[in-house]
Amino acid sequence: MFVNYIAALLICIGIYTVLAKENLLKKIIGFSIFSNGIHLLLISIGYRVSGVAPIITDIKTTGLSLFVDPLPQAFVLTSIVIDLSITALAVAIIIQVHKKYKTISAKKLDNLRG
Amino acid sequence: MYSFLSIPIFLAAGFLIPFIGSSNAKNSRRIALIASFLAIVVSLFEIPSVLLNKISVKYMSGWMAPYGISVAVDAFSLVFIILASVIGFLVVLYSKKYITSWSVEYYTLLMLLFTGVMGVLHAGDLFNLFVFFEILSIASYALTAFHKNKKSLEGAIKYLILGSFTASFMLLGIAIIYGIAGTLNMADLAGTLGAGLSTSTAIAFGLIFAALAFKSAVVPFHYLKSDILEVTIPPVGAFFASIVSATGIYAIMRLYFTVFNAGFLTHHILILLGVMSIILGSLMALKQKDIMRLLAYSAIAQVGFVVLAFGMGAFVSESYIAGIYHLINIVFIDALLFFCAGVLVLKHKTTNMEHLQGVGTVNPVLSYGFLIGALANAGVPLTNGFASKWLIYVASIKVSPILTIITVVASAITLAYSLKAYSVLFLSNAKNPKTIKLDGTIIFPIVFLCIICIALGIFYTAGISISEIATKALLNNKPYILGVLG
Repeated sequence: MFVNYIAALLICIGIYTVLAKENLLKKIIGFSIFSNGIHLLLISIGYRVSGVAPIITDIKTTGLSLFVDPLPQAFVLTSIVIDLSITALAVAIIIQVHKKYKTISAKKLDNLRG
Repeated sequence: MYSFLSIPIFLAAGFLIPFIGSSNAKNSRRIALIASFLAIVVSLFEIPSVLLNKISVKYMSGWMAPYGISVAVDAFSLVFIILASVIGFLVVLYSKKYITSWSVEYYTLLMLLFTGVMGVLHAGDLFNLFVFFEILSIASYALTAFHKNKKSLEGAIKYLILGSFTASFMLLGIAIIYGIAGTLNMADLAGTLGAGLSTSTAIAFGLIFAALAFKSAVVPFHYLKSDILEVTIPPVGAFFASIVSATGIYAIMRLYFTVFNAGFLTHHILILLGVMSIILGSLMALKQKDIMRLLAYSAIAQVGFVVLAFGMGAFVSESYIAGIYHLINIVFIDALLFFCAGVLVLKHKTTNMEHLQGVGTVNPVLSYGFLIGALANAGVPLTNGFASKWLIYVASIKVSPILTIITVVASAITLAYSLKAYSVLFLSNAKNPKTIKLDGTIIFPIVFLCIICIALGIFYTAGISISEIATKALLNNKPYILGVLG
């Protein structure tokens, strides 16, 4: 359960950073922390205390029967790839924003109103 | 089971375009056209098997339902699959005049957007829904930034931060559900969770709902829709306003009815959100000076009608039919309005209505197209908007007369701002009218959508019976569960 509290803490820090920070890059960092907190939560859901790696072995000879749930690990791998592509696109757009606006403060981007 | 082929078709087209299109830019458009035409064909081939068996399921690499990845199509999703492929084809056709440079990048992103939409509509489990939802989102962020000018970059970065932030909430909801049920297959979940919502399932559903409602711009998640639609190029804007919104609503309703069997309380929330969308969308559209923002707020108000109709369904069951019929209709209407206004925006390089005064007077096709779209948007008789809005009025009077008053007044406001936009663009005296040469790639989508708007208004019984079949598939989740789990 200890891991769950750390996941909750990371999620809270991430949400706070995205909402409170003005700097676009800090917002992206906050988003990374947020989604990594969710990944930690997913992994901890699949974790079994003293379970082994989910590879099929001969139970009779090894005596191992408690496996870690492999499905959340697959989810997290997929989700990490998605986060990577979002971060890459975000940084690319932030570079363009900096070229046009000469700033990366979210408050100074205010051309769209109404 | 053919229609799931549209996912690999679009994905393959997205990968082929950079290779083949880089030598000759025209080829990228050809590949996109072929792919979206093939998608229409495969989705139409799906109709007989869905009508016969209620549901058609495909298990990926032969792993059976709760263990492997499955895609499932029933009547409710098939309606949206056909709509998405038809509108997608029209958007590719219509893009010809807009895309004179960067065409390889544009069509690649468009194909990825279509892949995401088709994936969400086919997905049989929550995690694949999330993955395809992210594919859709990432493609749409990049398409928003397409112009690379000040405004579009601002819109794109705002959309990206908020969009990926809300999508992460969806992942959080999925994690909670996996913790509760130990499965993410929709049919399996429906059996495991049972009827009614427990507190933790309700929280998870709320988190997923927020992410999907952000995509379809239901109030209070609407705040970026108008910004995005102002800065994107009109063909993409048409797709965002019509199909992407409809996809969000589809996913919400699929989870709401098939998976969670959400309870009585949630219907009140849907009614509240619907009424808020209707009021806010209509009033904000009235004060807009920008044609694309006006259409965006109009789209928000029309989505509000759909959400309201689904919320009222708990009290009046015909209301579900009205909701689905209205959703089908607004897809066509929004696409038509964006296509007509988009031609003028392309020619004059501005979306401000003061600068666009009277510029459309010399173009009868655009003028009649926009007029039909505007009247259908407001729900004037003989158009498709009237048929579905009438059903919503009739249903709402059985629930509460206040809802009827709100919907009728909102329709009157819709007529006011639609006709205001029409008269400014097409009736007032132009300062510098430019004749616009229209070719088949623009005339065909507009005329096609006009015909559909009128036809669904006159032969409304056909539209209602399609919606009825879809409603039955949506409300009764037994065939879905049995069909998927085998």
